[in-house]
Amino acid sequence: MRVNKLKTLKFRVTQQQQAMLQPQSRIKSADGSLQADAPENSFRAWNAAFVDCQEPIPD
Amino acid sequence: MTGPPDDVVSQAALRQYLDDVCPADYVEDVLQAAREHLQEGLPFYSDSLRAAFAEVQPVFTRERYAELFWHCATRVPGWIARVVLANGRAEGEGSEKLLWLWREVDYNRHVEDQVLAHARDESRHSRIFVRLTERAFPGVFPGDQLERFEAALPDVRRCPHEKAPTRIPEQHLIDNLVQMNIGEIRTRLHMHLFAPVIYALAPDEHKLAVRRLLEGLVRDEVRHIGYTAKLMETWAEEDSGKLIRRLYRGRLHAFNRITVEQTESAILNYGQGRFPDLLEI
Repeated sequence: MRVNKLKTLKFRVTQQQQAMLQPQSRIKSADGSLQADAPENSFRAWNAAFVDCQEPIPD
Repeated sequence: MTGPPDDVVSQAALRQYLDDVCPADYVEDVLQAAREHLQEGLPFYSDSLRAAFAEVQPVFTRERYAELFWHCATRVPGWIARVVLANGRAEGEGSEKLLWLWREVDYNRHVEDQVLAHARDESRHSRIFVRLTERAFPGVFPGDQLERFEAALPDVRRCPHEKAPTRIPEQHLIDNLVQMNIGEIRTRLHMHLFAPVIYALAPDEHKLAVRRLLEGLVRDEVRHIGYTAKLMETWAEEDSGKLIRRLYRGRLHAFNRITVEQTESAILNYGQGRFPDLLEI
């Protein structure tokens, strides 16, 4: 069941989760080629801190 | 005796992760965090945020977004370490933008002080992400890569603080802080996505340090959401309420588009065809 509130960060992981995370290379794509990009190209959605829209204030 | 098949185990692990990091209602969750921090009701801010999120339903509040994060963290070797480090650069860029904003405001000391403090926090945070990377993922970045990365980060705490010759109008100041408030809301969510993954991967001897760094970061995010929310309340009382409501709706739409654009490469490169719905606005 989903938590109602994210009051504190969760640090506990289950053994199943640990098993999936620890050997990060355990599961690969069909050709085994999944590789992370360089930091500057990695999944930017997880790093932006500021929107910086250049558009005018919306009507 | 055989255990359950691997895919069943994987699904159970994912379900547990989603249950832990996806609140039933993210907007109410963030509002409660801000209100508890400030010990204030924030009625105007709450209404504006609820209306904007109800209209936009941004991708980062979807369970599937957290699922993509888990998918990449568990299936792409080295991805999570690089994402954590990339946050260092983003926080550094954020600190420079906030300092730029501070330079162009010379008519509201209260706002100026808080924006400058925020800029300094972001510079500090950029380095905390380097520390997190070192401690949680020792050896992933060999040699002096992290040292060079850190040396290239801007540090507004050491910059001369001088006002700019130009002045930003108050409406644009409000616009910037609405955008910043939305960005911080997403960053707080990201901290919740990060925490169990980084903690699980950190070596035992560094787990406590990693935990403290993450807890400090999320505490600061709530503080930043709180001070900007409080400013919105004040500005609304001074007759900017209509503008602020309009900004929250418009900027959240834009922010959602940007999030989808930023997520697209991960969906295409790592999603293995499973997350096309996250590209839909």
